[in-house]
Amino acid sequence: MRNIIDIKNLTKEFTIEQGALGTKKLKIIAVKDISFSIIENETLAIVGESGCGKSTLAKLILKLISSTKGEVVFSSSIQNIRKDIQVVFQDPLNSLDPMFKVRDILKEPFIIHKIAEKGQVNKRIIDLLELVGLNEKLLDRYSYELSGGQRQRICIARALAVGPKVLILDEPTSSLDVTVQKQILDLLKDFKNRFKLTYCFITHNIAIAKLISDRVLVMYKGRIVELGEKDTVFARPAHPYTQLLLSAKDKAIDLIADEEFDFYACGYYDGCPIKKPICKQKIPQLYRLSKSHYASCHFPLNKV
Amino acid sequence: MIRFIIKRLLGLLPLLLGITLISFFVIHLSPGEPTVLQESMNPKVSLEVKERLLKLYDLDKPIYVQYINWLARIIRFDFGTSFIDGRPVIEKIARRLPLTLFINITSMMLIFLIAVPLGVISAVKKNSVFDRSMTIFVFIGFAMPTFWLALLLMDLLGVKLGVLPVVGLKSIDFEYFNFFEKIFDLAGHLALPIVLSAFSGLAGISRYMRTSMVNALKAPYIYTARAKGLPESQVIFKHALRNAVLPIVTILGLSVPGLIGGSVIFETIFSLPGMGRLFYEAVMQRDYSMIMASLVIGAFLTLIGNLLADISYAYVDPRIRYSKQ
Repeated sequence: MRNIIDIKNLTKEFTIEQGALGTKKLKIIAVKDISFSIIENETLAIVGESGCGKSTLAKLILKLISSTKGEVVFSSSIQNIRKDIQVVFQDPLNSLDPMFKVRDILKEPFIIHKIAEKGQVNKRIIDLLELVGLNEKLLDRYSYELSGGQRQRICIARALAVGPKVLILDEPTSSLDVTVQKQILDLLKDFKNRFKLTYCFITHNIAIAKLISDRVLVMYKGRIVELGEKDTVFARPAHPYTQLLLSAKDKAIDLIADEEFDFYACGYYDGCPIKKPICKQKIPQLYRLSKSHYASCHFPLNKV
Repeated sequence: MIRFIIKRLLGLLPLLLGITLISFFVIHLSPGEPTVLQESMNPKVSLEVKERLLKLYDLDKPIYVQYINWLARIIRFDFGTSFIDGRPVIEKIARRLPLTLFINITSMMLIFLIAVPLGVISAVKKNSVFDRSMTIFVFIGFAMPTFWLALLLMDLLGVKLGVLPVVGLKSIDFEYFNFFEKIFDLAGHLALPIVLSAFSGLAGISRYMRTSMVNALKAPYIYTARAKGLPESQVIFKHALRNAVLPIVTILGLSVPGLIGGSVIFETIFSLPGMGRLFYEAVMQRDYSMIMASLVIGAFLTLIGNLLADISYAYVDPRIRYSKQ
């Protein structure tokens, strides 16, 4: 058990210019002082509602956007993050360039990283398609001529082309039909064992997190509220927000509106059923509850 | 692809018919008649002469009969003779059209070649000093009346500095020049009109290009491209630009009528013997057959411009190509 990626005090602020001349600046903190590690060969599920900063976190880990504070540290097994870490995004239609045929989409990684002999590229592409259960007839199609499931399979094939060590999966199934979701999840599970991959699986669907993950990280308003082994978190959630998520299953939860960002209060103060005065005065740190179970709550539930 | 083009060409026919119908009636609704110039200033013209003139030009018949007669002739490419000097209209247009086409096509290429890179740089270096100064330039470009700018530049370059000829297409001693001198002379005369007619389009198109590129750079497939390790230059040119340039092709196609309209102004200011000025003079003289021929040909060119834009769009964007087959 080694850490493959360490995230240290990661913070990301976006500034939005408002007013006619962009003089009024609005600061939005998408990710607030987050620290955790991704362990080799695990599936870490990052769970949270839309807008909680989980996709921003994914882009930060991938260094597609720069962080305001903090850093992402890779272990020595990751030489080239653009090769060893690959990503599958939520929307397979838009994450494939509409001007490219399937063949060109799958060919590009081989050209960029020069990992196959010229004569072999075609064979590798066909192997990849076979791997994700697609027919080579699709090679000359464009992405919009494929079904949703086929597109996501292409995205996964593209990600696997360069033989990555880590896959960041940013809601890879949320735009798919339920039956197709199952197929894609099975495919991902199979690849994880076969290629010894590490998954960082981002989802808003708690049921999927339960199905696929080893550890679960729950995010709320840009902060980690709970982190722990799947069984622990699901059986004995320590944070009231996690409890709410679990009880809501995959029903939509109303986002609790707080227009003003409060620097002193727990982010979940307004929605919390067990709040006490201290919650408004002090931001709870990520407290360690047991060996691998953390929650950022002054009054964690289900204490052992 | 060929089926797509043929289909589009057939689709143009009813459109063209509608254009002839509307322009014919609008022109005939406007006050004044072609005979006015020949009669009202001249006390010797009697009523009989006037009627003879009207009959000569078919103007005594009901307007729908005139339209049908005219349409029947148009289909055979017979645009009639000019009311002013009696020469065949088609001949007059054929002599003037190449110049106007040349100016418009060149300035369109100029717009495309300058506006696209400007837009791309602005988008890639969004909110940089370059981008902000481009924004200012664009606003100035939009706000500046080009005919006024034309006059200023004529004064500066033609009169004060004397580097460019001011008006006309050829120098007086053009006939005595050798081939290269002729080309050089023509280029000198056309430089200002072309640059100025491109200038007005440039501001807008570079702005469209910027917006289009900014949006393309936000697309998830750009993140994908970066995440898989593609160098930024290739991300921009291979993925973003190809997608961003599509709407520009359409906008350029749609800007054809504007360019043709602009020809009227530029050719008048620079005294260039092109279609625009021919049309302007025809309108002032109520030369119906000339006006109608110019309108039909102008409309035809506009439609061809749109068709070319559509075809190139279909050529670069596979989505269009497939859905229209």
